[in-house]
Amino acid sequence: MAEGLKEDAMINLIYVEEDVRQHPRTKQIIARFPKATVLTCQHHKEIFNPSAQNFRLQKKNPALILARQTGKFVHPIPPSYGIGGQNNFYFSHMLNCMYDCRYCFLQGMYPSAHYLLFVNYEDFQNEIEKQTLKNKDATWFFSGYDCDSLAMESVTGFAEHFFSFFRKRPQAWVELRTKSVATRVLLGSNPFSNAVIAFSFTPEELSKRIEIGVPTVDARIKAMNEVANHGWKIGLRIDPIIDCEDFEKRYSGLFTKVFNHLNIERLHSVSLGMFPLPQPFFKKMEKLLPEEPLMAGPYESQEGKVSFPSKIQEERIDFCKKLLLQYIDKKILFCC
Amino acid sequence: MNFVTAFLAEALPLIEYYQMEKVSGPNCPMYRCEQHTLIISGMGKEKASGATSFLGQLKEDRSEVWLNLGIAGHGEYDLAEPFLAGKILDDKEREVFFPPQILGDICKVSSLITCTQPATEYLAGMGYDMEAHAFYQQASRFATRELVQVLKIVSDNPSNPLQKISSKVATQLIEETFEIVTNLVDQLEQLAKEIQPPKSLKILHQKLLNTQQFSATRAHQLYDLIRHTHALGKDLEQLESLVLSAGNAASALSRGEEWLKDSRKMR
Repeated sequence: MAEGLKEDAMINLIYVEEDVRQHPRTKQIIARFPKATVLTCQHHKEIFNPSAQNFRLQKKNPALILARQTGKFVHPIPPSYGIGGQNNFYFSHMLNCMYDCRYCFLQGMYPSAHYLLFVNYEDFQNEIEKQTLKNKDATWFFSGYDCDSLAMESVTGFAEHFFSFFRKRPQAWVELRTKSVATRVLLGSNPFSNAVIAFSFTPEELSKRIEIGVPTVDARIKAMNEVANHGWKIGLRIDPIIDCEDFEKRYSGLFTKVFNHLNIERLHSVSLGMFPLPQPFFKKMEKLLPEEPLMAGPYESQEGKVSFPSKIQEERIDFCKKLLLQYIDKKILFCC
Repeated sequence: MNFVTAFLAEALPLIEYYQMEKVSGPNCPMYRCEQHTLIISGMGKEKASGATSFLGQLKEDRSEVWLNLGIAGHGEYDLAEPFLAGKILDDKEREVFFPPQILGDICKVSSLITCTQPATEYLAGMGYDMEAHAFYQQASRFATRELVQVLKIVSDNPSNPLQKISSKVATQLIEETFEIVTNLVDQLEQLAKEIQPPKSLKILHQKLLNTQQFSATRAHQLYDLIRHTHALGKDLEQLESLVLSAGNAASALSRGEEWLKDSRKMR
């Protein structure tokens, strides 16, 4: 494993819904963790949903929950989202992430930090197929909203499985978003035209402080270049943009590093995202991270969202746009 | 830390080790030392529920640790094997609890069923006791679930089925695994500390509240200011003198905000 989960060290406990106990994917995953305790449950909500759980404490040693998704498999993305096409959806085979980014909304959204993996990939694919057939134009499916798409590939086999599905459906575009350098699955398979591998970045100085457990920026740039050189389309996600000391120097330094070796021909899109959080998420995160300097930032609360003051946001976005346009065409630059 | 045991025999090693002293309780015997409280519930769900609920109502802090310690049967484990309950069932109730296990490899983790009557039949992989479910149901009202745990020591299994277990044997079983007990206690206490804001912040807040007339909203804003000062690594004494020298609550807050403003940007 180039990078990713050190299974035996990190998963001590696996909860399994009775209903998927005999699912081949469940058996395969359990077999990877011979030392883990396995406990069955009727429904993952018994473990994931109860109140009075502490996300930060669970983050120290998350368990793995293997379950069946029975709700919605794909979710529409608002038209205001820049990247993609006319018909955009996101889907989440897993909830929660092995990384610990201090700005991550998941800790404000979910009561539990356990990794909740839905093993019924085929049901996701059936729904993706349905949505794709509804539209004449290309339909986009984004992964990596509720988890990192690649970081736990050695456990989930998610990318490998979904690549063979999307490869045969050129009308269905897939974007996998990641901060991982676990790119073996990408380098070991043939790229196909309707896939984008999107890497997100913040400058190294910030990443070291607030993206705990995430590979270094240099390591991710190296991984991204390898993936690009192998023939995959690349997405660059500067998200979230964090206002900070030496903002200009840090972000221009990041862009210089990124574009130094990147094969621009492989670059599909670049997007900029600010740091707005729904107020209830922010409140919960403040309680969970009372000593985190990021949570004591100069934020404003507007229309139920907490973010940097709008003037600062505009300035920072403008600065990044100007810099990026020195490297790329504006057609592939998006603000999300 | 709040300990709940069914019997004195299970509690004795804790009482001795932590040098706890008996205090008067309404129905159940209670013991205390500076850091810990222990209540002896008596046998069975109803008593465990009552004792845990009683103790919970004495507590204000939701970041305290709760531990149900005792002996139990098990369908698979050897005698004297300790285990944490990762899943707690009840022979009469549908609700199932899954105490989050965040300490990794302290000891084995097993399912446990709380029975109304002593169990004489054993299923592989299942522990048997008479209090845990009722304990957890109550204790999880008073603390975050990661800090509510059930630790059992195997006293009977299919090869050594349940007979009357003497008090002496119960105490011995706990004593034999006491290193694991104290290790668990220490680690849970450490976790509890991690989620508590430093006491000094609350003390300073209270002190400053006494110096001006703060409305409820402004009192909350003052605490945010103190918390942010601490999170940003700024000098709390400097904030204190700014607030003390202000003419009123509004001015105290705006002075504090102004002073902190430039430090809020991420470094």
